[in-house]
Amino acid sequence: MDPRTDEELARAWRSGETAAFEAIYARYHEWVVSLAFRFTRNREDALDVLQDTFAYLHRKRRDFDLRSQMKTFLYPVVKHLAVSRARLARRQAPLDPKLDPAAPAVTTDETAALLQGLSDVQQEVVLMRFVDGLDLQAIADALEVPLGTVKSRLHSALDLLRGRIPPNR
Amino acid sequence: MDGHLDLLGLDAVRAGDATPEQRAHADQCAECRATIEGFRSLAGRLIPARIDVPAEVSRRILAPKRSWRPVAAAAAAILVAIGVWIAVRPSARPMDIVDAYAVALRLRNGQSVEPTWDLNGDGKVDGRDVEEIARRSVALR
Repeated sequence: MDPRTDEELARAWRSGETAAFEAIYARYHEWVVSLAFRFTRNREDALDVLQDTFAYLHRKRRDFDLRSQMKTFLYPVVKHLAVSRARLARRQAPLDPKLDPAAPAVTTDETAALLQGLSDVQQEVVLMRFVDGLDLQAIADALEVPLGTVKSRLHSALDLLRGRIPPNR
Repeated sequence: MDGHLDLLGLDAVRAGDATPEQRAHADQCAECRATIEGFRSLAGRLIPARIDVPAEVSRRILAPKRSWRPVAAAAAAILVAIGVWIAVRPSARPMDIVDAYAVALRLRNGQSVEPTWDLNGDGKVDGRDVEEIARRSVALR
């Protein structure tokens, strides 16, 4: 495990150190593929998005300036690639026209049950906060929305989720 | 702090990015702590998909990548060379019956002849090339 911070790895990668790229991959590939699956709902597509994401990172090497958290940088890249792929897949096989590829897909039955009733944007913020562990500013940066919008979405989502906490807790 | 933590404050304590005041309140308030624990429990039940990445995929991603620039430069050079060849090759020249005569004359006099007049591609310029020049110079296009 490379002990360097993400910023240090980003700098090293920009200067051409291959080991830094490998360390970034080791640190984030599981999260990237899991996030990709959240949008594509398909394992093969998620793996393709993983490759596309790191290929993008590879192409960006010379301009790679990490000004935020790595997840904040990667989130819109993964989302864009995954949504594009999901849209393409849907055009090729329109199985369920109700599915919106831009909306995060819940991944397990329990997760689906917990998030039921939340809007797509509320679900996205909750998943970014609870699963991805991003702080509110990072979520705002990744989604390119004002901090107040994130707070509002999270607040209304938490209000709904509070009602699902078992009363004996 | 007056009253209880609001929802964002409760979540901030859960996530570990609360202010010292929010943390202090949570430490003292059983009701807020219960809600924080509830959110913590919910967060623990939001299970992300676990996708195993095959080693082959990782190998492909981490394999040294060839930059496209040298490849593109080589491709561009080849295209330019092909373009130049097409432009100067004898078959692209406007041919005149006078060329046939001039080449025939040089051949008969034993003078050197430009190898580009080797129109039939047999490695030498001879009478058959002269006939070809003549044929092309009068061909209807």
